[in-house]
Amino acid sequence: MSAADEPLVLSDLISRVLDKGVVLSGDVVISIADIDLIKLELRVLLSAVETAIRREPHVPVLPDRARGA
Amino acid sequence: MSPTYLYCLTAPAAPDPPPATVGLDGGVVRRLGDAWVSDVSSRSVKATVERIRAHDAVVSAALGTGSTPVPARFGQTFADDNECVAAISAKKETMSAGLARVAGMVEMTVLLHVSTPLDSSSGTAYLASLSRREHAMDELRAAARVINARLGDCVRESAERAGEGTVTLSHLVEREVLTMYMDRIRAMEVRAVGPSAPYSFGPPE
Repeated sequence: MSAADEPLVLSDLISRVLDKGVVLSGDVVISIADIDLIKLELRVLLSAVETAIRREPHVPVLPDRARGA
Repeated sequence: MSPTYLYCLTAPAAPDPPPATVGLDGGVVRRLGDAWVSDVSSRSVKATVERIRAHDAVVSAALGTGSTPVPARFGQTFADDNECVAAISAKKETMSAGLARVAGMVEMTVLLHVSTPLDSSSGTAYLASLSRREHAMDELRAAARVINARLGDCVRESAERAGEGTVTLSHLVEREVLTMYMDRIRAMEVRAVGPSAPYSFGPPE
């Protein structure tokens, strides 16, 4: 991989770790707080949140501030 | 008692985590039944690049033992070890099927992307660049079909995902044919990332 491909590789890594893999817990709470991460791959994050809500509609998946933390 | 964070499920006979394996926020990774876990300070885990890398590093370490794990999705915490064990037990058959699916396999990823930036200098230019990108995406999808055909029986299973200007091919590959897979990849002058744990080939839902 060349250095020019690194953002693509990192984006793929984020996508896989956040949006793939087995779900065992009924309490998946991912707080979204890292601005660099949001800038890098906002769509992946939104997709992960959407997936979590679809799987567990009763579980809150919200940023810290919205959770009152 | 600290909450328990889950990284992956391993086969019953799989090796334990190497002693120096650390996970999220430097937590020491340990074996809990058939799972690799560590203690975390809170049940709410912020998704940062550093933590995502840490999660993947632990799953990669499990893969590195020679026994392929079933990766857990990021962010799963349990009140304590007992709750974690109970959650795994509740899906024992599904996890067994997942482990059987990936036994002896690794995941390889081929990343294809278009290099046609969108031009927002005017409405007409934007629409024209959008059209060019759509055409380029069609070509990427066609290229993906060719790649899969040429890899042939090197690939046990394949999954395709299209994103903004990208097409990602995930391949489940037997460890024993990885050299042949890479030879075919190089012959096509495309790049593959991996081997990684089989995130894209989880247990049947």
